Amino acid sequence: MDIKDILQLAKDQINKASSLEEIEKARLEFLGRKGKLTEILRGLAKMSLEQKKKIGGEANLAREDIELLLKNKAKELRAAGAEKIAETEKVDITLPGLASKIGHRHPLQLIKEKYIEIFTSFGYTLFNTPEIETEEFNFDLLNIPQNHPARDMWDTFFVKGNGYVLRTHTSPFQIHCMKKNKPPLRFFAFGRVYRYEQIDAGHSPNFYQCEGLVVDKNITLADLKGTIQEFAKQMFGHDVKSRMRQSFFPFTEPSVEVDVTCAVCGGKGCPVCKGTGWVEIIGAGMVHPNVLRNVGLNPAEWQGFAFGMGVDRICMLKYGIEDIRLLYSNNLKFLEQF
Amino acid sequence: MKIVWSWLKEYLPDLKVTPQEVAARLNLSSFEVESVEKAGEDFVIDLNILPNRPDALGVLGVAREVSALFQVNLQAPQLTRLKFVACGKLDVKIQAKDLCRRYVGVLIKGVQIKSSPQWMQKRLEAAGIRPINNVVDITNYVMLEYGQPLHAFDAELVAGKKINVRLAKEGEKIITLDGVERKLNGEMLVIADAKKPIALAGIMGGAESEISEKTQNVILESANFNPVSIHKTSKALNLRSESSMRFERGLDQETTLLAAQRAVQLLELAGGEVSSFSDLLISPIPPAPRIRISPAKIKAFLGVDISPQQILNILISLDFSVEKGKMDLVAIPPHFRQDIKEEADIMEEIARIYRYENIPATLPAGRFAPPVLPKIEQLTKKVKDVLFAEGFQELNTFSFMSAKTAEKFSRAKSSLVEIVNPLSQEYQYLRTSLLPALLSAIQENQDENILRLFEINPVYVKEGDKYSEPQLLTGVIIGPSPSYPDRPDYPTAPEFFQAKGVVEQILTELKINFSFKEKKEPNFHPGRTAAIIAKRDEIGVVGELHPNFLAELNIKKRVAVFIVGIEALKDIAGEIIYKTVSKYPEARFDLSLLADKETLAETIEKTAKAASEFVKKFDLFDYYEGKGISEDKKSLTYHVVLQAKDHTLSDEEIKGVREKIIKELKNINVLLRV
Repeated sequence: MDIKDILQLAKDQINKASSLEEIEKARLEFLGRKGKLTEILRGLAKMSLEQKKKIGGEANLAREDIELLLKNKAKELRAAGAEKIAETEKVDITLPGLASKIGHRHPLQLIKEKYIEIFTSFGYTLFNTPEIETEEFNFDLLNIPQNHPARDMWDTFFVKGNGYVLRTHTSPFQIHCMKKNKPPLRFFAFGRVYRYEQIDAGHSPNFYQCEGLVVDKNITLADLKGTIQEFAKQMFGHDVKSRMRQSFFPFTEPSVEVDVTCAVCGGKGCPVCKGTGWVEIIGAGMVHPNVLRNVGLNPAEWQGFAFGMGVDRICMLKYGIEDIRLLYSNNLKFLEQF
Repeated sequence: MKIVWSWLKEYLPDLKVTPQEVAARLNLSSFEVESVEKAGEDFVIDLNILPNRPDALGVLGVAREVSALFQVNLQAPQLTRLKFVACGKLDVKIQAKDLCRRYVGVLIKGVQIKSSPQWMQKRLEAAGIRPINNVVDITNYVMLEYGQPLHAFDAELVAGKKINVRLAKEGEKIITLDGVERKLNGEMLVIADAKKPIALAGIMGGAESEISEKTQNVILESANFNPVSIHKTSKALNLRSESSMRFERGLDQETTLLAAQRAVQLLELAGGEVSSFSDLLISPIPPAPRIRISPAKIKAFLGVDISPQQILNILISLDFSVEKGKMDLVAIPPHFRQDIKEEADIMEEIARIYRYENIPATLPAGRFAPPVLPKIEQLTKKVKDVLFAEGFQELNTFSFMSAKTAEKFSRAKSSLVEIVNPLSQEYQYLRTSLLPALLSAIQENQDENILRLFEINPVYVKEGDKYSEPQLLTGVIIGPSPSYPDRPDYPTAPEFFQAKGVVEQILTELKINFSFKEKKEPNFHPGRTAAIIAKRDEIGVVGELHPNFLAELNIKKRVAVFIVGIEALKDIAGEIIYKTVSKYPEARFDLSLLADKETLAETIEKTAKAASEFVKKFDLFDYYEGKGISEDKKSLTYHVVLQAKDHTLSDEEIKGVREKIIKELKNINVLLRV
């Protein structure tokens, strides 16, 4: 058989091949150790230089041809096979996926993590203080003297015994903070507070507050405004607007209330914002000089701001939750959404 | 407080803006606006006057505020001085000098009692006060105008025409204008005549000296009472009035006289004539503070440049007297601004009139160390990550518990924190355990086949005179285990082993070495409960709840619980310690063993691991008891992994270790299962 015949035979065989196994068989038959073309190439050794050149050249060309044929046919067959898998192994990809069930954070804890993220990025250190608090820290040192009508602003739960209350706000944290640390200070607190309030859709005797305190020689009301604006953007999104309004707290002077544009209606006015387009979320101000004096800081030397807010309210606004009681419930249909 | 627009405008003839504009401006710079409502031709603006601004508890005070905000002139009523008439007919005495700093009494004769004019009635009604008769209406009108409560007595019904401001005698009684008889104590301030109390000072008049159709002579009272005293009495008697609400805030002593002058002016229009006038002032009115303030300091505090002229304009518009110095100025507040005491107070006045919206928004300049999250928070986050991965839903419930719950779940009663004034019996104590809340959650979700719930929150413990609020992790599990291919299935107590598995997972994640020890715990299953031990201390408990206890709670499924003190974890949590991974291959084989039932799995594992240093893992993957093996036996099948640090184990070595393990296990009567 000469090279031409071998090449023709190979072509026929490869063309006929219907599987990768047959391709492999053909490769062995022509190019394998004992293959038809291999034998011719092996025979070259005994030939004259001239013949070597001629037949060797032809044989190598034929080998290249066969290799190309094998490669192309294999490719063709693989493609055909893939199509077949698409048919035979096809699944309904709309069947539900399989995974182990993971748990969900409580919405208030989710918000807590958000607070930690925001205020840590602002450079504030988390500093939590007790919930069972002395009247002195909860009121007196915050410039709310005994028997002062202002104390009625906080409906207090009293602890049986010795002058302790359930803290009515996170503000005693300011006192702890300033007593324990030397300024400059930049701290925040997050935790449970308590007010004597009957439970309904908008009130809970047990709720959360988050509070911040910054004290240095050069802290201004403008810094408070910027800080709160930045907080509101990070919590509610960058198109939220905020404004400061005159207010009164015994432990800050000036005192302001901060409103943000209503997250529910976007500022157009709705029942949540009582048609005003604004919702009140933060009480804030410059730390009252009496509070600084109470912790041994000279108000002529140090100044700062403090702000506090109801976390539940912010959580409710952020997610559009209509009833505060859900936040303390065992309603899994509610909880599993977070 | 309801402000009638036409009344307000009377003092501000130059005001050219709408009620809505005034309300919007007040809302931002002065007092929160509740509503602006149309009332016929007129408007009513409802304001929440801030507690530190009693000066604005009258229309005139709000007009002063509006005059400053809109830079328009204020026209206050022209008052004439009362002439002292020394007839000696009215005898006023202040016995309780600490509680009443000034008392203006005026005896007016010849008043004809009738309805007050329509315009006055209309204004009172719009402000929410019911018109009664001309004399009473005048006292109310002046209160609404000046913020100073007044009272009028029928002079003929005041015994001896004697007025004494004194403390009540213990047990003394008075029938107040609302017809209620009130029993008084020695801390309550009253106005008494020669015989008995005729008014609860600053709160409500007495019925017996009430103005009636027969009244001809009136004693008008304008006084300055101590705010704390009024507050305490009003609270003790649970009696609040327009008057007490104003006195509680602390009124100024100049206005005491001004309001009296105004009332007399109006009473004279009603035909009355001053017959006697007395003005008792306990001590001279202290001078207003002189507060030094400079533009530089204002800039350093408010963060905005405000020109000296602007500062001056703001202060003058608020009726401050201002003395100019070279670099600074001295501001002296008007008599009615008792809330202005020092520099910070002036800062607030300037900021609010300058408008908060005109203050720039900046951020504090830094010189603070970067924050580090407290260790307990870092750790709690890690613990929660494991729990969420294990499919636990987080709960967050109230800190309170009932006495009944306390009895069921708490140890020593002395360690309970009790609330003096709980909302209800449900909330009488602070909780010492999170378990009751989690069990309620189970009760409420009994339809679920699988429940995995947890809460991390403080519990509250009284220790002598101190309190502590340790954070606890408590988790509950009901239902079968979600399938874990690599873990053994236990035919009995699957809930217990799930709970134990979660605890193991958490402690492993926190790099804490731990062990478990059988434990007896109230309300827990006596045979399926273990103490969690780390660094020799008990840091928690894991176990099934006692079936009887569950039956009491009407829970129909088995419940496994784990309770771990987060505080304790904080002190023992370790760091990741990396060990070089051996590059030599592992050898693996399985061992199926038969052991006595009472032989602890822990003992088997320890024995096998001690047999050779090459034993890297000895993991249980199948557990069986029951049919096919004798009743006192159990079957355990382990994956064994061998590896050396420094060479490839030879077949002989592997065989040797295997035999050694089998031999050691045989010594504790654990046999190879064939």
